[in-house]
Amino acid sequence: MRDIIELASIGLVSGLVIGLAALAVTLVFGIARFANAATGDTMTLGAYAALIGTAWTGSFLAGGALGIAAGAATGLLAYHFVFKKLEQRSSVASLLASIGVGFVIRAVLGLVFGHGQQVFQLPMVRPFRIYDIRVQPNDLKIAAAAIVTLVVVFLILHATPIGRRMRAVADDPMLAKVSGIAPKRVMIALWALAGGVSAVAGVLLGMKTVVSPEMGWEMLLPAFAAAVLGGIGHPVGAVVAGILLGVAQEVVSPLVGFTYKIALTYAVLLGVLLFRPRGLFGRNEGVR
Amino acid sequence: MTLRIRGMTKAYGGLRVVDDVSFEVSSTAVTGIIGPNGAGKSTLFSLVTGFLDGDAGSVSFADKDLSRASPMARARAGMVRTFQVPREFTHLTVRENLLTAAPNQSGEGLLDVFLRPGRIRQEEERIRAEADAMIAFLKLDRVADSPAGGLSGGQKKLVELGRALMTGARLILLDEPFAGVNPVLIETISDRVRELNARGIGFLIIEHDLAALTKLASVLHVMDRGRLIASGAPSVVLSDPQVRDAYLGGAAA
Amino acid sequence: MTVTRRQTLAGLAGALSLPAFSGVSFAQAGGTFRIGALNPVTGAGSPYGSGMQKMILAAVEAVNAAGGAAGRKLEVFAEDTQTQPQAAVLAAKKLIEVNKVQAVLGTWASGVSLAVMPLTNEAGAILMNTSGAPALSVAPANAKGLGYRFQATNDRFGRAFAEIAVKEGFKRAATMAFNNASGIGNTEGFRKAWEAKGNKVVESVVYEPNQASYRGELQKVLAAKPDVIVTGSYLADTTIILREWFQTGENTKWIIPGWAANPELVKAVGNEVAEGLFSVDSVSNEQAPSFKVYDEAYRKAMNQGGLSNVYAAMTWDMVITLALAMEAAGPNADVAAINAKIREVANPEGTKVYSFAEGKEALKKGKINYEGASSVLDFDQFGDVTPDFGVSIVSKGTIERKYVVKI
Repeated sequence: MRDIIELASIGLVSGLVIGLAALAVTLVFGIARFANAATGDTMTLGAYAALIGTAWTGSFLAGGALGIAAGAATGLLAYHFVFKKLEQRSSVASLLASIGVGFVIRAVLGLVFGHGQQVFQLPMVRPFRIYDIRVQPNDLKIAAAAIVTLVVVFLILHATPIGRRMRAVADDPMLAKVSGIAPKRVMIALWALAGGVSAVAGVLLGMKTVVSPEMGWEMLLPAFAAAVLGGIGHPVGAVVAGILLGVAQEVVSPLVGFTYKIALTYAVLLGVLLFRPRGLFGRNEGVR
Repeated sequence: MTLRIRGMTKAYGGLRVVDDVSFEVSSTAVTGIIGPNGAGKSTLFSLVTGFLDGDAGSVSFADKDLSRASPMARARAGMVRTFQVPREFTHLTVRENLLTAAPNQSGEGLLDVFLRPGRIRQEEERIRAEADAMIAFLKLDRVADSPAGGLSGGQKKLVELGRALMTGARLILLDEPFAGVNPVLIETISDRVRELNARGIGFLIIEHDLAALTKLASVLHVMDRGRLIASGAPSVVLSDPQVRDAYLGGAAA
Repeated sequence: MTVTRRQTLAGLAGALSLPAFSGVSFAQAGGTFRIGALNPVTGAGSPYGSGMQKMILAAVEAVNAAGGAAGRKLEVFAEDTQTQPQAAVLAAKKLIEVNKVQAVLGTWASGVSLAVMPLTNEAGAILMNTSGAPALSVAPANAKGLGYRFQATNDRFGRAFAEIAVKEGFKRAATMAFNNASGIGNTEGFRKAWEAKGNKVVESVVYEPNQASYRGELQKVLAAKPDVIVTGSYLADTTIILREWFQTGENTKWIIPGWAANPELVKAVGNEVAEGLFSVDSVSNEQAPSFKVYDEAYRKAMNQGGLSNVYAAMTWDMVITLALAMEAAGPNADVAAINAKIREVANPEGTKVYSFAEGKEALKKGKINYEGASSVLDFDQFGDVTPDFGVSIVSKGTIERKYVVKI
């Protein structure tokens, strides 16, 4: 029993990180209406920026803030130079362009930082026990950072005017335009927000593991899987799905073998697409 | 403020869907447009509000020529329409639906949330107060925080009316507001319209429910096959033999 | 003497056509033997690639200076694999089809060697590689017997791990393997050798790449209370696993392949975590005179000791072995004939020789046995060698060689 709870808590933390990445994917899909394949590489860029910030200031928090700023800036630049121009075209064009944007980011990072790994020198600490369950302090911090990010995002979406307008555009872009909601402001807000969230996911992942130019790209499929599982376009769904996948992976793997970890994610994705394509929280979207 | 429509014409191929229609609507009145199906009433609405380009004709409101203006510009000038099939943000609550309709809230962006929270909060409070008043006025209190997609047809029309009112419109064009709505709600909607009109907001209403419309409107215009065939007080218009013929030829009242 | 117009024109044509022949060096009777140097100059193998390529060139120079092999000079065409199978295949095609090489030397990554071997097999060319994947030993990859592996197979690494575990007195060994042929090859090799000595593997786990956490996997392994964990892993996953292990507070030792347990790892996890790790890598034939010859050449070309690049010693040996086989096969031998002589000149029975010049001389008197700079180069039936293994322990942040293990 203790083992299962420990595994679940491990899965919870990884799931939160995946959930953040899935949130970034689902925000862009809901409002800009395409699958952004550059999400992963924005994560990587955020992680590298945080490494630099931490090296300069000695503070992980400051490094993280630099990472978020870099992620938001990346999102805005990508919107301004690439996605804005493709708004009138099909979503496939934007998807292909986003793959290209991702390549460019990855290549530049590889050139600038080299292909070797880098690490955040988090202090090593032993776990403490709550009711005989081992809890890792670093994991707690990472989970806390993820949760704070999620709270901020949801506050923005539900308690501010710009968030309301973003949700209106996600709901019905035509009606939003007719209602006088200026699309440009909404898009700027979207890309800054999605970029910042991706960066947080990248920084947290980098802290848990290692930072390398491919790290975000390799997380892209799990992020997409979680976004689809949650109901693409549904922010809460993306996070919940990420956590579910993370926990399921950790709890099931010791039984069936760890080599099935990745397969499990795709089996879930397949099942969702076959039996409930709208995902856990998604709506049956009609085409207006 | 007066809406002046002059020589409005729209043709598809050889068929004139709207044929040289001219009339005036005062914002002090509730004006109705009736006519059999296919008479061109909704098309006229689209032409007047800028959703369709006319082949000929002009539109002016409050002495401003809006013939070339976009739908958003016309809305800003004070003229707003609703749709036959109500459109709302299905996942936003009723309150949020009303809030999004409030006119350009100084274009706040994401950065302002962090840099100018005070100013945002002020504005929010102002439009929230307006929206709350609207909710009370439309008697939507019980569903104010429910997603708008779950409302009944009649309630959705009230929400649409509310959104139109939030824009500060002086003239509202209602397209079949009573269609598919239960009689109690029809009463509610009619009362609201009367009250608003007393406060100075004009209405131009397309309707098939002649009983409900005649209780509301002081002027009726009748269209048939794209042309305006009669105008005047309801009692006069409805006893006009031309009007009766038009109706007997199409859908009855 | 008057020169006719015809003669002038013929002379001009001859002179103008000289550049067309520049790719072919003018040699003595028999022409040249063309070698493709296909190495990881860029990419993951780049720490070793340029050294490897330079040593091929240096060895070729030494052979040609000694008069060539069986009357033929060696000629090298150099290409970069970028440590990517796709790029390597393009380069190999160019070497084979355009340069018409008869042997390809020095592919490093298993993926690259596996991708290139079908091409060299089809062209009837010899491929000498430094990769670990077991698949390179047998059909279909090595169906034609044209492949020679100068590095230890992952399997042999595993056997070395078992020797070390026994020597260090461990009783409860567990394994963790990266889910690919190399990782699993290591731990399977370990398991077979370990069980052959009468021991049991208390727990074994194969893990997926690019995970956010390996604690679940670690938990399973640590639950079996091993006193040593043997891995088939790479730098990134080893970094994550070691950090997570250290934070569990559980006691255990680690035996890790040298490509993962290197200074980068120590830098990433910190001295405290790395203290006491066993790092195992194949080592060159350091006591042999041939190593001295190679070392001199390496220092001259790279300004560093030859010990720093085990793979460069291997590529040096590739050229010498090939040249000695050519010498033994006699003038105008084709690739098949040369191939048949490789084991003859490298395997036991014969006078031990340590350089090309020495070997060329000794061949006049009888059989030779070239003992290479990288290993004694005794090729088994699969074309694989068994080098020695160096065992190092991380102590206060430095990786110190402690002893050598022979299997």
